[in-house]
Amino acid sequence: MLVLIALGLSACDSSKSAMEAPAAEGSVTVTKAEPGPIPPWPQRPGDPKVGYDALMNRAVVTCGLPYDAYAASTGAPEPEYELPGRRGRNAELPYRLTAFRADSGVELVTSNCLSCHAAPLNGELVIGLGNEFLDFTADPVVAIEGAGAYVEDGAEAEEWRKWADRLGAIAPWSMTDTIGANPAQAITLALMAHRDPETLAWSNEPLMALPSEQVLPASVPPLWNVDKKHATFYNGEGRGDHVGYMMLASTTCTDSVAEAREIDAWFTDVRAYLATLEAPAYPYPIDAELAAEGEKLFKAECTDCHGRYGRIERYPNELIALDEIGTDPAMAEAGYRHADRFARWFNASFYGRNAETMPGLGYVAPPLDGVWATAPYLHNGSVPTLAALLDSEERPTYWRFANAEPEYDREALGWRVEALEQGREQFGDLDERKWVYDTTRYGYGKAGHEFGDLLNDAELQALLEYLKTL
Amino acid sequence: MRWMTLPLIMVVLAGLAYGFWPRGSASPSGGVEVAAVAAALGQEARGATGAALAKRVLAFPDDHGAHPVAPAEVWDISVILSDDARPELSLRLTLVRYALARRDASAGRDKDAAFGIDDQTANEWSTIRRASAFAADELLAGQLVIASDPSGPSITAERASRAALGLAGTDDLKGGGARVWLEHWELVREGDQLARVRASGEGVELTLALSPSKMPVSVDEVVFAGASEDAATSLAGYSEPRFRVSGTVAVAGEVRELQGIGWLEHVWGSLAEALSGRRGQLVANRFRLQLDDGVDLSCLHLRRRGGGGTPIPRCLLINVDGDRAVLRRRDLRLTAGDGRWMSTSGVQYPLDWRLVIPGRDLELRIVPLLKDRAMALRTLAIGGGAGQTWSGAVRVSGWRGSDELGGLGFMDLSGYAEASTGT
Repeated sequence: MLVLIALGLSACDSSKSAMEAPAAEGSVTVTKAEPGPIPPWPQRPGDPKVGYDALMNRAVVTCGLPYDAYAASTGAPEPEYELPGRRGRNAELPYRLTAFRADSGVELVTSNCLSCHAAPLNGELVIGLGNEFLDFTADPVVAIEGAGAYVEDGAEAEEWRKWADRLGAIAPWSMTDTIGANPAQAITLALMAHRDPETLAWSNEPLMALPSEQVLPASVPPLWNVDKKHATFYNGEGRGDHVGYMMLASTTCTDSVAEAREIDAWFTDVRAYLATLEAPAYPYPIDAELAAEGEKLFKAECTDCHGRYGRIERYPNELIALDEIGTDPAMAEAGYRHADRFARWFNASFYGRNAETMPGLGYVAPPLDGVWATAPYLHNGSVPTLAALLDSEERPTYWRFANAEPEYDREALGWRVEALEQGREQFGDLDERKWVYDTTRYGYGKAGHEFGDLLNDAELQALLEYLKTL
Repeated sequence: MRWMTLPLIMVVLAGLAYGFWPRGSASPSGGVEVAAVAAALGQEARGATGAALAKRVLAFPDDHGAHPVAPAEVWDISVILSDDARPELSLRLTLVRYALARRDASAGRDKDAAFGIDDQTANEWSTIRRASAFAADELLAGQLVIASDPSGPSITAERASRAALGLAGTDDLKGGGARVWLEHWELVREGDQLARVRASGEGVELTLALSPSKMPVSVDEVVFAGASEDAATSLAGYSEPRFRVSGTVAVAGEVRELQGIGWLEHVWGSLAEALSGRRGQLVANRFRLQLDDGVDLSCLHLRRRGGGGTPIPRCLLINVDGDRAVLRRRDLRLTAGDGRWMSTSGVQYPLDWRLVIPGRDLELRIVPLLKDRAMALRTLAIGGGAGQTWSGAVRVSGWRGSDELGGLGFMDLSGYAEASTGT
């Protein structure tokens, strides 16, 4: 449930375009970014093999449901996919769960990074592909507290209470009302509000103002682009060392700097592994001649922001101003507006010791490796297909996935969807409502990135064909 | 959502079985040492598998009758009565049937299947019939509670008897319907439309006629509020949320003609979870409310025993026409007020509750109907376990929008003894 992506932070960098905001307290500064190129930052080296093993078997969320209660309450379902390298109990669990033994001796089960950052594609689980069919609409409190029915007294109960208390505290920020809309950013900010940044000690009462309960939707970005990106997060605020951002899920239960330091040590290897990921190849036939036509168009119209692909690759790491990109501003504005709170927390914490967050009023044009597989598009997942992304007139105001399971649309390039005439209100049943993506809502807008509107039909088809090759 | 099912199974019977189990002072009846038998059964039930019941549609009037292969079965009727002259009187009759011994697993197989009980479950639940008329395959036990304000009658009576020699038992009636009796306590169901309750002894004579105003609702819905839709449960049954009731109650020779409303529940299956008195770290409260405008509410309030965490309220709203709507945690607020009542054993019970359902424009206050709070205390003492519940009638007052609204109902509050002792 908890995730790698996160917050609305800021940090400093030596970038000349940065402007420093006055510090509200202490000596921690918060710097806000201007649009433009994001400079590189050396990442700590790690061992990809060790990182893969850790990703498969270690817990970054260091509390959980006692295994016995998990097994009794769920029936311990068999894993849907076999992941090489899952050992011991983990080999018996669904890929999105990790088992570990707490200091108390109780075996716990908890969510892992793959909950959001792995997804099925053509019958196989692809690590690094964001899962856009996750359902965060269910009330987590009901599941978390209800699991207590299976928990024995003593150490098990203590472990369950810790886990339930933490997840209960952030429950309002763990929910969205639309399938695929991911609340990871809000979850992380809420966790920060409950921790002392210097000691990482947990407080049941928030230590600073909590984020808005109006949770903004995020599409889960692919992780195979990690090595290309100078900064994490859609608004490029995650500058500096990336590991501190990637392991923010540990803020759920990691209550001391010493514990965080231990996780940091192996998460450096996890980052190194993620940097080796490659985008999946388009699995269907490609018209090479048409794609070549599209490549010309791409180089003429798209390369400045999205980079070059092929034999000689280049990725510009460009933060594009909101007024230029025109996409829904809510996420970027929220990060910018609350920088003095959450960015300051991050910079003052162990997580930010090698990093500096720097929110700006814009979004980074992402690398397009494997873009065919990463629908829906834009940071909020508001545009269901690449065809619609390149023709703003074709973007549905209301839409829903055509099937509960991903079904690929080879014409439009994306998961097959159904455009609707009306929004969620037409459905009385909440189970139907949650499938409706309503682009008229705050933070869910489909506007912007209208650069493809100038293309004629032939050019659009050629460009789409080229994008299949990335 | 399988995790959700078992705590709720515990809860439904918090309202049913809690009230039934005899306290230490209860007098044996029919030659059976009730507490000893109950304790032994409690041990057995805890060892039971809690085998799942296959999901099926309830069939009436057959399901009004007994389900012999189920290890336990409960009929529970709660009624609030009044006349023009005096305030209300609450009455609750609980009858419980327990299988005592094993019998040939093949016996009754057809009926097992009709009740949705699969072969494996039937084998686990089966008992062996014996030829002697003195032998008993089943035990029936029950409790009758009549409560009213100090000027009125107050009676708690408990009985238990072997289902032998006509002392107690269950019968299917010709033409549909069923009869359950325990000595001079009797619940008769004639088809779907009428029920009769008769009881005599302990200075009480009562005869009540009950006519259902709404169709039965499956226990999955009315108790679990839809939470167990995708789960196999070890309990099946139904609830009839509103009866019109009329009849005669004579206490100590004073005869009163009374009218009112009632709520009947009938469940069968494994009582293992119920007899444990709690489930894991959870305890629960239950509210059954009958509003004056004809709407009924069945609400659960799950919480951690010992306190802390976020309680989980959930309601099933049953409209006048029988249409139902599940209301989840985010649809409502069900909270206790500051007022507490302390029992003589030092347990504090929150007896003043508020239920707010913004989407229905409902704002209700729930308080005990009767002034004598102690009358509603029930003690569970099974196989070394212990627990206490406050289980009594309530008055509902409040608003639907700008319209004043009242009602009656029942409230079962469990787990407060543990919270008080810090366990």
